[in-house]
Amino acid sequence: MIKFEQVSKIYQTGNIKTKALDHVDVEISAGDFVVILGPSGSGKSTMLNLMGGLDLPTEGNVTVDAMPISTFDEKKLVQFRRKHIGFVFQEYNLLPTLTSYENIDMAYHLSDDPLDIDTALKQVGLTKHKDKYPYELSGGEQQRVSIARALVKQPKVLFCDEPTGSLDEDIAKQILKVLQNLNQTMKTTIIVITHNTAIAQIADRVIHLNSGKIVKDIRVKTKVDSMEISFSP
Amino acid sequence: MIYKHVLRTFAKKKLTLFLLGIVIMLSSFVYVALHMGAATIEKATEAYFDDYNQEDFVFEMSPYITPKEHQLDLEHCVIQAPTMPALYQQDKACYYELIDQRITALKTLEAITLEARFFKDITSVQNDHTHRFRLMQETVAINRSYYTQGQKPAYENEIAILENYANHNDIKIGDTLVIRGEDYEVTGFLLLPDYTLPVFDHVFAYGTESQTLMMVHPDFFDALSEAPNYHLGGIFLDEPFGVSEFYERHDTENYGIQHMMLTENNIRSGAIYTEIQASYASGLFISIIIAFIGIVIVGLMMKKTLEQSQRPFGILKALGMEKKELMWPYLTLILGFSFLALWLGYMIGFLFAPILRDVYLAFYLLPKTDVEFSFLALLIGVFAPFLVLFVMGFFITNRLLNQDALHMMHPPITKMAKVHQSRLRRLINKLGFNTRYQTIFMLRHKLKVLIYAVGVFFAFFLSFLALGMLDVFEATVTDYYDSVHYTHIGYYPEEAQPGDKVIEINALIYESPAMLIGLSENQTMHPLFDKDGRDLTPRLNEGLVISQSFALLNDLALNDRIEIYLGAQKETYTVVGVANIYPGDHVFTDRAMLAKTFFNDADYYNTIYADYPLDETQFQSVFSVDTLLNQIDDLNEVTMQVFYVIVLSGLFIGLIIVYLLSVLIVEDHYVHIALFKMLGYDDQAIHTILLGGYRKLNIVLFILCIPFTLWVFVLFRNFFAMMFGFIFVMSLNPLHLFGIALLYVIIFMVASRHAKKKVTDVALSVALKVYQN
Ligand SMILES: Nc1ncnc2c1ncn2[C@@H]1O[C@H](COP(=O)(O)OP(=O)(O)OP(=O)(O)O)[C@@H](O)[C@H]1O
Ligand SMILES: [Mg+2]
Repeated sequence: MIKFEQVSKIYQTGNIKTKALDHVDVEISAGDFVVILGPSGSGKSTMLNLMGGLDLPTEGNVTVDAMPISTFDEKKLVQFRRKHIGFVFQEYNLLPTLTSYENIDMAYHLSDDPLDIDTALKQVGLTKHKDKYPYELSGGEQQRVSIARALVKQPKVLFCDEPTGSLDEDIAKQILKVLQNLNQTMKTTIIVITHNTAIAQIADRVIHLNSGKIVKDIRVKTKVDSMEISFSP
Repeated sequence: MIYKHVLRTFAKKKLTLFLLGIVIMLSSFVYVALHMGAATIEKATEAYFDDYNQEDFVFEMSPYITPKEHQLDLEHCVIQAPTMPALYQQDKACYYELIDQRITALKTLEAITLEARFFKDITSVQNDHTHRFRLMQETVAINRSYYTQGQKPAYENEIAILENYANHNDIKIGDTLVIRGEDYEVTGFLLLPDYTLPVFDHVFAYGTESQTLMMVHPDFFDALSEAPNYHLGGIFLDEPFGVSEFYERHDTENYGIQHMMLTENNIRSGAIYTEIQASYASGLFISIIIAFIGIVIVGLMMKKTLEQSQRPFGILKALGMEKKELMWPYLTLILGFSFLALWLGYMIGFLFAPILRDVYLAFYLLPKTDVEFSFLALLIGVFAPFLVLFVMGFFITNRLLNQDALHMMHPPITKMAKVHQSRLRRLINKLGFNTRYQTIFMLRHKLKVLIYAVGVFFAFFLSFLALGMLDVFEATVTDYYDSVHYTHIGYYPEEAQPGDKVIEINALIYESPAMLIGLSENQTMHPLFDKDGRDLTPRLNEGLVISQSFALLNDLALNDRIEIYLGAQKETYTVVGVANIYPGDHVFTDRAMLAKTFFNDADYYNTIYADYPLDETQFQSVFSVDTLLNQIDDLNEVTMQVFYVIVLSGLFIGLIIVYLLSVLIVEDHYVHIALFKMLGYDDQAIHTILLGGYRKLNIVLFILCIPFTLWVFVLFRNFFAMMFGFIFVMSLNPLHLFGIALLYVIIFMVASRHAKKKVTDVALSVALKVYQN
């Protein structure tokens, strides 16, 4: 499904070069729930941005669903993101001037085969908040809107960068539950970045990054329901 | 440190700030230039009018002698002639005595003083062109002449002329002019307070290329065989009174008065008053609109840059920095910048004022003085907008920085006013995707949309206004003279000449002075059609055909009965047709009927309409359509220059506003744009959603501006009709509108390209970091 071959990403600011990813090889299969763990600055977000076609690698090939996206120009990347990818970020990235419904509509409009907006709202349990503006919603609710916005496109892959980073434990679990359901019922490939090792328990596979390299890559045998995990060990 | 931060923030917006500076500068420039240009004229003019005793009003006199006057027991004569010119030819002393008698009688009616201004109009060929000279006699008390150079003519072979005419024809003091075969030396250049515009007989013929006032020695004046014309200039000794009051109190026709006119309503002497007021008003109006646009944009920019620094400022505040330490760098820099722009506008306006003054002086016959420093202009043009900026800036910074540190470090997302009116919502939901979100985005940025709308509407309006001016002479004078078939008019022929026999006579019609024109039923030179194209000539013998303007000015309609006074004789006629022509003072009837009623001679005529050049020696005077049209052309040229200036300003202001606002909108939606990109929208689609609404707004504004402009034209028309009694036809030509639309399309395209580039420039991963961190 997603394939990295000797992928490197070097950021350059002035004379300073930062190697965010260093010759990474990895392959992720369709339908997997993958968690990426690693300390701050280890290259997690960079990896996700490359997979989702938000950025291009300095070296190496990125293939998603047999498409060589690392060779795409901006125009093709836009088409790629539009058709196949969903994103969820730590901050909820909602348009403050649009209501929940309208925020989701923004993504709905792009898809050839979208999920009904009301269905998407129901999936994340927000039907009664559809006409509220982001500032009228709690953090968890905002994050659910942003998940609904991602899933309404029925993406093949859903990328989540610290989706629960600003939420407390109970709310975080609800969000993870939504993701888990999505993975199970719709077979969406889900990739979640987190600092929180507890979240690793709900994944099919856990990838550890450090200094731009994969240091550990584990298949989880006994997957746990998100409501049963505990954040404080 | 904070200064450095603010400076860096501003440095990133160089072009935006530069354009903003231009807008601010324009506001003070327009005000100062127009105000000072007009103030200079006003000041010099007031002093001149005071010193040389400009008339407060004028009595235009009828050429007829009243029945009462025929019974007068005058010292030197018995009056038998029916008209003043005839009396002059019979007995000059008697002529002047009768006029003195009239003045004496009028002075007993009201607390006024009067003095006659005598003149004779002649034509003369100069450099192969026919020039018109109005030969004048000096007055003693009212409307005294002011010699700007040289002296008044002291001998029979000396004359003084207008400096404008001299300049146009390259004449210097000491040069000679040949008039009727004799040499005359130019001894001076003069101005006359009763002639601030050289209006001889046609309202629009203001040019001084081929006509001049000419002061001559009394011997020369008397030696010319023609009878003089005259009007009585008057000054109020007590309370001024209005024209209608005078008519109510006295029987005007007993004194040979054709009509009374106050100077302020008299184009010849008083148009300058209206002109100056109009300049003050338009200067203020235009600059207030521009200043409004500029000030609000400054406010928006301040608010946004402050909001962008809110988090770091919150931290600084938490560390113990005081509000004023954060606030003053912003205020000082933005206000300093604005003050500089305002001051620059003032300086350029000051430099520009003399140019404006000279535009006035190209038409108006007024003294020329230097532009003086004006405290008022400085106050209104520079300090007033600065104060507004200061108060607004203080308010914005104070409000944003007054919040507590915690609040600033975690600013809540701006609250949105709810669009809960479900009707509007439902309406919006029915729209297509793009239109729906364009509408939603615009509804939720009302202030920005408002300035944009005001600015663009204003730019359109300026251009439309200019278009109206473009057509004004076309629609009025030129069209009329193109429609008539004569090329020359000869007055008082010595003997019969080929051409249409016509009577042209000044009369008081429905209480307003008008030209009564008698045309024969088989006439061919002056087509008369109503607006449905029906020929009105056959109806002339049933009553009066009035021009559309005359109907409008006097609120007359078909079948109205109106009274005509010719001297003391009164007749009542029915309006049988309204002719689709411009002149506001032309009224037509059948020549034979007119001749019988007023002249007891069915064959009487005094004018020839001819389509060939007339021999000037055979007539008392000859009017040539070409000469008039040439003068109109000169006037048109000046109008064209003004047209270009206004259209260019409109386009320029439009360009700046469209540019500034689109940049502002793109910057405002920086994060939105990144988000849209992340979702998979391409640049074009983002551009359409965020800015496409403005494109549609442009079209709406353009369309709305058309009826608005037409309404303003009606206001103008009514104003001029009320003030000066003539109709000024301003209209919008669809073809010209199309041209302007095309120009704006280009402007919007340029701005839109730029905005699109800005959208493209938003680097996705960097923009997302704004949110991620
Ligand atoms: N736009 C950029 N310009 C320069 N350097 C960058 C940029 N983005 C990331 N980096 C650098 O690349 C490295 C990896 O960054 P990345 O954002 O992938 O880390 P991360 O693992 O997501 O960290 P965190 O858990 O803190 O989000 C870091 O050292 C970072 O400083
Ligand atoms: Mg990260």
